[in-house]
Amino acid sequence: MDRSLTAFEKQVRKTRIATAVSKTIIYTVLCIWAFTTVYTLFWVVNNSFKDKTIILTDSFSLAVKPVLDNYVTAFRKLNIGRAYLNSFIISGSTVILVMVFSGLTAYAMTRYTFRLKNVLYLMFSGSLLFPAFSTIVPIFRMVLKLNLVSHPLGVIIPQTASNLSFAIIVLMGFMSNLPLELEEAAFMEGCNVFNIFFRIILPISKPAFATVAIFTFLWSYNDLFMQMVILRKRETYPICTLLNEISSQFGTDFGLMASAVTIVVLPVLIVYLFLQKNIVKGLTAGAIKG
Amino acid sequence: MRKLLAIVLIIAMSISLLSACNKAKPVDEPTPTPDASTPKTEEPQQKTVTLRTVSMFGGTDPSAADYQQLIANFMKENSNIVINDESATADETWKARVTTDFSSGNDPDVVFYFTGADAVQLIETGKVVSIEEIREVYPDYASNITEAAMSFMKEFDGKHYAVPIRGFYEGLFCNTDLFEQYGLELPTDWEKLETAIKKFKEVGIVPIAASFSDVPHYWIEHFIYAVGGYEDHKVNPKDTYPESWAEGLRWFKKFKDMGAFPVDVNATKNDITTNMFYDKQAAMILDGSWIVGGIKDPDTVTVLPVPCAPGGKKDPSDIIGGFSTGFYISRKAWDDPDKRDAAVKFVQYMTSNEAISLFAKVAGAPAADVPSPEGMTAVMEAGIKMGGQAKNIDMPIDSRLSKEAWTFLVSSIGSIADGQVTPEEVLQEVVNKNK
Amino acid sequence: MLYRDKKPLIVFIIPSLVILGVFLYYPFVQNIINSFYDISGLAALGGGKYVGLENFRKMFTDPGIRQSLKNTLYMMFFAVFFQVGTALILALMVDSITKGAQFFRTVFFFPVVISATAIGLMFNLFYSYNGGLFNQILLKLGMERVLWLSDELAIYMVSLPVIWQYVGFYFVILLTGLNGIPQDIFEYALLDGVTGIRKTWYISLPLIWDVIKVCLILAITGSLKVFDLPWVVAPNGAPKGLTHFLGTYMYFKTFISQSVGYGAAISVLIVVLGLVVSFTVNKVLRRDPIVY
Repeated sequence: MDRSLTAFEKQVRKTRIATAVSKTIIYTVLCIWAFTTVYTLFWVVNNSFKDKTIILTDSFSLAVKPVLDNYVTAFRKLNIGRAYLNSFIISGSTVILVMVFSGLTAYAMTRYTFRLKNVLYLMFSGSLLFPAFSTIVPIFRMVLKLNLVSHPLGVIIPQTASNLSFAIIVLMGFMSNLPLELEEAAFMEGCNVFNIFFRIILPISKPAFATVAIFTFLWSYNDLFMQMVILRKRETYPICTLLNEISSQFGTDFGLMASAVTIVVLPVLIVYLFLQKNIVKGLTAGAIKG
Repeated sequence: MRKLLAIVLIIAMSISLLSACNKAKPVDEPTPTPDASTPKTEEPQQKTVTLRTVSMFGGTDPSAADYQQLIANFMKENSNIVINDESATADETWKARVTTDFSSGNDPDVVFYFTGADAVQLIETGKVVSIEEIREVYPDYASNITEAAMSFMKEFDGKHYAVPIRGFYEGLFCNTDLFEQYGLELPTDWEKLETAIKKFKEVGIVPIAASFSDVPHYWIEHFIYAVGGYEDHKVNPKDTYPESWAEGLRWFKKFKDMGAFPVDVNATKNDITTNMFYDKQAAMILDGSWIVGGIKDPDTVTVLPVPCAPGGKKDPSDIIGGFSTGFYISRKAWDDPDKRDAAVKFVQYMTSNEAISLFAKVAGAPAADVPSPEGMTAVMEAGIKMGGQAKNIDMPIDSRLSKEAWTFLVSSIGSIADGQVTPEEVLQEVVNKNK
Repeated sequence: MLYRDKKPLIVFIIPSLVILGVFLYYPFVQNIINSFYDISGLAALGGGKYVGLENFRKMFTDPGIRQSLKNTLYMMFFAVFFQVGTALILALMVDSITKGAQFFRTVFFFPVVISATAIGLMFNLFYSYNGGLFNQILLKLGMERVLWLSDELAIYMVSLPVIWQYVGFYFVILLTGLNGIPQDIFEYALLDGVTGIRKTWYISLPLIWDVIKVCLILAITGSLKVFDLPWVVAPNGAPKGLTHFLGTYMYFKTFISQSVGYGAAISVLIVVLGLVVSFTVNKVLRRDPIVY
C-alpha cells in the first residue's frame, strides 16, 4: 500500500537522517583522534622490539624481526618487580591520602560560606602554579631533618602536598553541581554533617574521586624529579627512577628507552581500566525523585 | 573488550614480575660480606666505619660494573669499612642532587665530580678538602697521578682538589669511507676542510653534524682555538676578550652559509645528529672521546685535530682535552676522625694504577702511567695518537667561564650563525657576565 | 540550614591546610626569599648576596622573559581553545554515543600516560629535517622538504604535542562531569522536545559549568608551568631561545645558568601571573551555581 507519510512520520524521518549524518560525523572525528592516540602507544611498543641502532633511522616501520634484547637487558640489570612494588606503595599511599584530605576539604569549601573561603580558593589555585624545582630544595631539607631520606614516606608526604591543591579544586568543581535537596532531606531526618558526607556525598561522588585518583596516581607515579632527589638507595627506587638509570652516558639507548616506557606504562593503564569502572553514567539517576 | 584488554595487560605484568623474581641477583648490587677469615689488621679494636660515596658510574655507564666490583673488592680487603654507594648517570638532575646534598648538610664522604666551573660552588663554600691539605697528613696521596693530569686539577685558588682517573679529548671525527668514496682528502688543513664541506654539500651528505640547541660548544672552543691558538684560547676573559675570539666566532656564520651544518641545526638535537654521523649520513662531527663507544664501524672512522684557520695562530697538532673529573673528599668526612682514614684509603684504592687501567680501558686517557689496553679500534688508536702528538692540550672554555657567561655564549651561537648578532656584541656581554 | 554550624568546618579543612602549609607553602616562601638574593649554583643555597629587587628589575629588560611571556600567552590561548575546546567536543561526542564509548574512553587517555620523553622523541622524529617522518611523506608526494622548526613555525610546532598530549586529561574530567548529570533531566527535556544541539547548549553545558571552569583554570596554570614536553622537543627554547616558555626559561636559568636567585624570581612571577589570571577567569565566568 502506498500512502503518503503523515507529518509526524516525515518529522521522524528527518530526525532519523539528521541523526545518522551527525552520528557519522561524530564517529569519524572520534576515530581520527583515536588513531593519533593509539598510534603513539603503538609506536613506543613497536620500537621497543627493535634493535637500538635502527630506531632513530627507521622508527616508523613495523618491527618485522621482533627483538627482545631491550627487555632482556632491562630485566637482567634491574630488579623490576621490586620497583613496581615500590611504585605501588608510594603512589597508592599518596592517592589514598590525597583522596581523604581533598574530599573533606572540597566538601567543606563547597557547602559552607565563611569569610576566608575566597582567600583559601585563591591559595589553592595559586599553589597549582608552584613549579617543582622551586620547592624541591626546602622540601629535601625537611625530609632530611625528619630522617626520611630514602624512605617511602619521604616521597609520599611531599607528593600528597603537591597533588592536594589539584584534587581539591577538581573535586570542588564536581561537588558544586550536586543537588542539595538530598542533603537537606537527610538533615531533616536527623543526620549530621559527617553522616551526610560519608553516606551521601561520597557514594555519589565516586566518579569524581575516581577521576582525581587516576591523575594523582599518574602524577605521583611519573614524578621522576622528586623521587630521584629523595630516594637514594637502589632498593627504594620506584619503577620510573629505576628505568631512568638506563640512560647511558653515551647518549640515549632508544631501544631500551622504548622498552622502559612500555614497562612503565603497563601498570598505569591497568589502574586506569579499573578506576574507569567507577565513571559510570546514571549514578545520580532517581536521586531527586527518590 | 575492555576486560580482554585488562586481562592481557595483567598477564604482561605478571610475566614481567615472574621473570624478575626468577633471575639471579643483579650484578650491580653486591652484598658486602666481611670476610671473617681475613687475618686481623694491625689495630685490634676496629670500629666499623660507613662511608657514603657518590659517583657517576651508574646506570649503563660502561664503567659501572667495574666500579661496583672495585667497591666489593675494597670492602673485602678492608673489613671494617662499609661503603654505601649512590651512583647514577651524570646528568643535570644528578648534578643538582649532589649540590643539593652539599647545601643541606647531607654531604657525601667521597664524591666523584667535575672540576672547573662546576666545582667552584663546592670550593667557595669550603665543602671539599684540597689535596695539599691532605698531603700534609698523607704525603703519598695521589702520588701515582702524572703531573700532566694533575695540572688539570688546579682550581681558581691555585689548589688541587680532585684526584683524576681518566681524561678526555675532543677532535674532528671523520667517516673515512665517505671521504674515500668521494675522492676527498682528510681535512688536515683548513683548505681541505672547506673543500670537503663543499663537496659533501653538493652530493647531499651533511658535511658536519651539529646541533645548536643543546650542545654547540665544541665548535665554539675549536673555532677560537683555530684562530687564536693556545695562547688566546686559554684566556679567561674578565674585562676584555682577545680579538681572535670574535674572529673565531665569525666562522660560525661562514660555515653556516657554506651549508656545512644540517639545515635544522638550530632545532635538532645532539642525539639525532650524532646518530646521523654513526649512520654515515654526515661526514664529520666535532665531538669528544666519549662518542667512541657508540661508533658502529670503528675502523671506518678516524679523528684529527681541527686545523689552523687561515690567518690563525694554532699549531696544527694542538687539541682540546684534559681531565675534568676526579675524586673529592668532603670536609665533613675529613673532619670526622673515624672517617678520614677510610675516605683516604678509598680514594687511593680507586685511583691506584690497577683501578685506573680498568677505567681508562673504556674511554679516554689514563691519569697515571699505565700500559695501553689491547684490542683498540682504528678510531681509538687515532685518538690516542692525537693526544700523544699534541704540542698543547687545553681544557675547553666552559671550564673557565662562569656558568652564566658560558650559557649566554652558548645560547647566542644560533643567532651569530644566522647573522642576527655580531660576535663582538655577544662577547662583550659574555665578559660582563663572567664574574 | 544544615550548614550554619561552622564547627565541623575545622575538621574538614585543617588537615589539608597543615600538609599544604608545611610541604608546599613554606618551601615556596623560602623560594620567595631566594629571589631577593644572587645565588650562583645550588650548593650555595642558604648563602648568596642580598640584592633586593635587582632580580625583578632585571626581568623587565631581559629579552628572554619577554619571549617567554609571549610564548606562554600563545600557549594559554591554544590550551583554552584547542585543548579544552577539543576535549569538550570529544567528551560531548562520546557522551552521546553508546557503542564504542568504552573504547574511546580508554584510548583517548593513552597520551597522558606516556612519558614526555617518549612523546617528545616521537615528535623530534616527525620534525627532523633530514629523515623525519613529515618530510619523508612530503618527499614521497613529490614536494619540497620543510624546515618545521624554523624561526617562524617553531612555536606552533612545539605547542602542538603539548596541546595534543593533555586533551585526554580534560576529556576524562569533562566526561566525568557529563556523566554526573542526572538522566532524569534529559528525560524531561526529551518530553519538552529539546534534543540535539539545543539540548547540549541549554542543558549539558550549563550543568557542567563549574567543571569547565576548573578545566580552564587548570589549562591556564598548566601553560604557565609547562616544562617537560617542550624541553624534550626543543631544548633550551630551540631554535635560538625562540620557544622558551616561562616554565622552561625558569628551569634554564636555575639549573643551566645556575642563577638560582633569578630563577626563583621567575617562579614568583609565574605564581603572581597565575593568580591574576585565575582570579580574573573566576570573576568573569562566575555564574550562580545551578541548584535543582
